[in-house]
Amino acid sequence: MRWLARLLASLRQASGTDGEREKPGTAGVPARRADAESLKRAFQNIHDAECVEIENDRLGKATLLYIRSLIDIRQLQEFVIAPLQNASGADLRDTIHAAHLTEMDSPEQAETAAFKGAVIVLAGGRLWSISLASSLSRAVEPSKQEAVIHGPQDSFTEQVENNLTLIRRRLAASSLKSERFLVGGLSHTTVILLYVESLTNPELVRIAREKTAAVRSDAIFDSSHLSQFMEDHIHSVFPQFQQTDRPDAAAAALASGKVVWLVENTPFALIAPITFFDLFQSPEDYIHRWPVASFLRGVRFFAFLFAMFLIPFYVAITMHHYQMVPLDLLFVVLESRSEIPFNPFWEALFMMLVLEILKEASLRMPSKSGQTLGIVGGIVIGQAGVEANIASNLLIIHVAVTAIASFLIPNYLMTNSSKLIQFGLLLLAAWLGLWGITLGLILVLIHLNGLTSLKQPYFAPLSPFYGADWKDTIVRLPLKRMSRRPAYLKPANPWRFGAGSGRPERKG
Amino acid sequence: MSRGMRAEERGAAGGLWPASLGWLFVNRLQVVLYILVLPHVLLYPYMIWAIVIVGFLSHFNLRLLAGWLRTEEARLGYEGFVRLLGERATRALAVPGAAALLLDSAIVTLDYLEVAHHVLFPSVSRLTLLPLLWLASFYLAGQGMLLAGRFVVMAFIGSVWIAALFIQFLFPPAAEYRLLLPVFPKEPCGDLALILPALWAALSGPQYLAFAGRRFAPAGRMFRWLALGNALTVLEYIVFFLAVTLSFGTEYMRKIDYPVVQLIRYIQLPFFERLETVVIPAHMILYVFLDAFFILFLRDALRVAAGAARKPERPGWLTAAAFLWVAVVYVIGRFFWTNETQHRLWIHVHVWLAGALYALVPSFLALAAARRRRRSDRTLT
Repeated sequence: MRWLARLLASLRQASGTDGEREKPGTAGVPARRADAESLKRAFQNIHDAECVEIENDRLGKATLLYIRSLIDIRQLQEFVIAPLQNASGADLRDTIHAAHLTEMDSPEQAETAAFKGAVIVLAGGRLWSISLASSLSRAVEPSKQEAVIHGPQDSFTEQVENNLTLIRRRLAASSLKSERFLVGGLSHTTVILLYVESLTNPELVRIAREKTAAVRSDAIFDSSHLSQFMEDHIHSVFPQFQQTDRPDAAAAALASGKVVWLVENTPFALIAPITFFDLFQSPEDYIHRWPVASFLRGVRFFAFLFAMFLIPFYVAITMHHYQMVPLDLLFVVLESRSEIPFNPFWEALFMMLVLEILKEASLRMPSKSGQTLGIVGGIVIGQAGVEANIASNLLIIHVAVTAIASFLIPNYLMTNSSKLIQFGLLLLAAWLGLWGITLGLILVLIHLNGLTSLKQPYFAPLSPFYGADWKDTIVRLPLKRMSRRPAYLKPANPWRFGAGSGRPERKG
Repeated sequence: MSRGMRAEERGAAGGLWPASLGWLFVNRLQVVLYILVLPHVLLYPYMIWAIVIVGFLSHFNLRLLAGWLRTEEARLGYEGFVRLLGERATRALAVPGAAALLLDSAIVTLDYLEVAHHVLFPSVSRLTLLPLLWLASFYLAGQGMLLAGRFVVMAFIGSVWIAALFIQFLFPPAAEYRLLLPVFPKEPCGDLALILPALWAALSGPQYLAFAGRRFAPAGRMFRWLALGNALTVLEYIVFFLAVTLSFGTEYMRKIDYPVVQLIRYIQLPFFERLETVVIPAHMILYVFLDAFFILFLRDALRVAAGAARKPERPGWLTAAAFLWVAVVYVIGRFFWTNETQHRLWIHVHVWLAGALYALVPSFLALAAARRRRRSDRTLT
């Protein structure tokens, strides 16, 4: 039972010490006297705010305040109104047996709770909240962003508590800690910070806690918003938080010593610290045999480089270094370009912009119009563009290969980042050829060298160099060989295979 | 606090360079310039022995350097130098030190720009490329010494593959083994007075690590790492030298500029040829790393010379160092490096300057540290 005592102690500590964290109701402490009128004033001009007054001989007058659209009316009637009308005791706790009955410290706290789906009860000068939030939630569905053929098919939803359940089912350990924050002056968004206490570097948890508590914004509607307030480098094009809608990915991150944030009304969890190389990993990598997984990862990296460099390389070669092309191939290039009135830079810029327009359109258009877009984009613009001598056949092939290659990057934010870099490289290629492309690449590498995610190096294990971490970076070695957690995270427990792994379940 | 220092704090995962980075530093600092120009100096096949002998000498010099890096004074940075030499002498030495550093870096950079101009952009002035190289170096220097040092891994990966391109020239049909003869000189070679200093200068560069002692994590195996880097450099030089000699031979090498670059032109891939167009830009990553290092050392030297080493660091020092660096490189390139005669003169200046610095800095500091240790031992007894 020692673990239970420790758990209770840590829970007590967690709920009572940090000023920024949400303060739960302090049962046993006399609440501030609050009058119903001041609370009612706060709910003025809200058409679905309702106030119900119930008189009872034993309990006296009880005032109920709630937002009708946010609560489950059937439960209100069954678990609150009926017991209050028939109350036999003088204490509200004896009357209402709801699991989420909490005494409030202040009218402001009660107001916030009401807008989170709680019924506020004012009885005997004390304020109580009863959480009866209506379950407006979609079912747990397969991930659309990170779909896998094999492996778990569940994904997060907009309900933060459900998301927490999905993670807790995977990491059923008391060392998985969850700290709750309320961020956003208007939105009062619940953010849950998760970490495994026994293995996560305490310094990381401290930084994560400080960054979450320091978020100053009226409204946080999405995990991306939250991440932008917590990033170390706000001007960088590279995402410094990984977003995933897969509970297995979030659980794996926690088990490796990272920190995870769950944000209310968002089906995407945030993971940090991350490295550049994490953004090329897919949960499926750990399902395949290791040589296959390593090969697929290699293909992804290659595709990323291809997507970034292919068109700038074409422009550099055709504008500055045509001597690099073997003669037979040069004839093909010249023939393809012979009728084009623009130089390769304008030709490439035009086609890249068209590609981006098509991609954006495909995201915004209703799904039923997708086929039309494919025809318009592929046949009309592509074929007609060549026939009208606006773009060469060769460039169309380059653009198509680039577009397909960019889809291989598992992280959507990274895909978009690479587009911007591609345009920068295109400009440099047109100006200085391969020297310009190399300069652009060096600038990107310098930028990555200086980037951090949650104050940890973003370009690890390359810079700084951690040899052991290369077992799971570009190649993925057998899981049995990955006995240590990533060294750049400096985990409190670096070993993955400890006592207690794989023990048989005891019956009785 | 400077931008650089803030960046260092941001990336302060570890905070120091591990000793294992030592071999990368030594190797990349050594090969940066001479990998392109050395085979132009070494014309005769038997000079391969000179590479090996000078490599051994460099090995001993690195032992002195490793010994210095292990001392407490090296770990203390500026305070260590003050303890060793006194404040006035430290400040006085910072001025010629900064001048030598500026000259060294200016020649190295201009020589690379000369190669880029010669091979890639004959119609564009080499000084057109200077601001871009400077911009990248300044950006890296702005991240601070810790992160700039870590960049050596990328500089290594980004340039070491170039040596692999030349391995094919070591074997037939590309290699003509008879061109290796004579393996031993038949008569005393009169050029040795020029060749040996050039080879020694080709192994210079690690001397700058003597001023970065406080950046290295304490480790007893420092010499092993430094020696590994030196051995790799010698191996690379041998590969380059053999590849060029076996392909061109002494007579033809006399007639061409940059034989290493010329040799790359013979590599043909199914999709591309003339790979010097790729290799010369790729080599730039080394120069960006090196120039960032030079700018950071120059910043430190300026602060020491101005007596501001103990004051809180301001970003203005780095900016001043970066602008001073680019101004000196520009002035030399614009007014004192206008023809081939001047080019050769500057290469000679670099050979003697870099060679002297490499010989003197580690030995001077190791001796000074030993002298101080003896003195303190005597005081204790």
